[in-house]
Amino acid sequence: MKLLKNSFLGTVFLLALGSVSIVTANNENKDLEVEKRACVRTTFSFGVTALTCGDTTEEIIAKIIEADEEICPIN
Amino acid sequence: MKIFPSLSTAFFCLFIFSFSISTAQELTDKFKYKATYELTWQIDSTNAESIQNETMLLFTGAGYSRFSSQGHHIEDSIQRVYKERERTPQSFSEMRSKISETKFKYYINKKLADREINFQEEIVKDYYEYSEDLSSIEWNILPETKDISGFAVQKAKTSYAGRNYTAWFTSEIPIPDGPYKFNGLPGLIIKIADEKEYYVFKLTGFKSLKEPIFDTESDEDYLEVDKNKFREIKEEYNVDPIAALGRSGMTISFKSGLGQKEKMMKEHRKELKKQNNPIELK
Repeated sequence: MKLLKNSFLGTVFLLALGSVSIVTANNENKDLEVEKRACVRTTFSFGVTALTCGDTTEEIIAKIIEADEEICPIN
Repeated sequence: MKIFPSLSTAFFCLFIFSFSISTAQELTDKFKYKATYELTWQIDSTNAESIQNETMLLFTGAGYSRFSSQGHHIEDSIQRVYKERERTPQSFSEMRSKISETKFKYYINKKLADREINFQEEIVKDYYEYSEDLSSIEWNILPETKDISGFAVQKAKTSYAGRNYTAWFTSEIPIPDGPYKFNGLPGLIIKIADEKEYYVFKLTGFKSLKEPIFDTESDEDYLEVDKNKFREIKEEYNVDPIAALGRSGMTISFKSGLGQKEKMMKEHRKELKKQNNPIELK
């Protein structure tokens, strides 16, 4: 139950992040930004999976770290 | 009615009161001034077009100072407020929109009398710090004077971490401090640059703070390492940041058969090659 709650909160917060998008169940992500930029499927340290996108590897990695830091403490 | 139940309680209260006063004075003395510097640097020594600018801040006082990029200072302040607020998607978006990008995510704390510095930086999700004694750095103060930004300045030279620097300091602001790790001159450094002008710090603003800053200590627990170990950790991260993420519990699943990881690593290595001109060469 706790995991479900954390996943829900994580999802809500990740959606607030412009370029971190949750992978939908049928994998139909229509976000144009996602399509034109490099995106990777990321599993954060609290178990939530999302797509993280950016123009460079450095940008993608910075976003992963930032999202993990800002969202994980709510667990 | 008895104000104090006993004489010992009265002494105890007096002690607490005096302690509060002395602590407040100590804190008041900590950061009374804010100096703003414009840093211009060339990260790729082979490409003159790789010049970038960033605003840097020095909070200084009688005995201590803290130097960082303006972006990092603002980011930290905003994140501190965010941590105390209710976490909603709105507050998270609002926080992110206020954060400006910075290339420098470190703090340099100086104890001016001892010429000791403490360098703090976060690598992935771990906080590291190291101390450095800069009392061995000698300045050669020269007779040449001129005017920079309305201040009468005097020339001084030194060498640090593989670069030779020329500084211009002013005795009009008698604070032995300056940008980055530089300190120990008989006045604030107004401008300092290495001989090739790859790194140039120039004062763009100086003001007394109406309300001195007390709470500048970070909430994070820093792991103390020596400078060589810190460099080793940073190098390890630079070589393979994806593996470093994995060590902190974050994993990336790459699309199989498309060579996505290889592409990302290739692009990363190419970028790293361009970042060949750090401020400290050794």
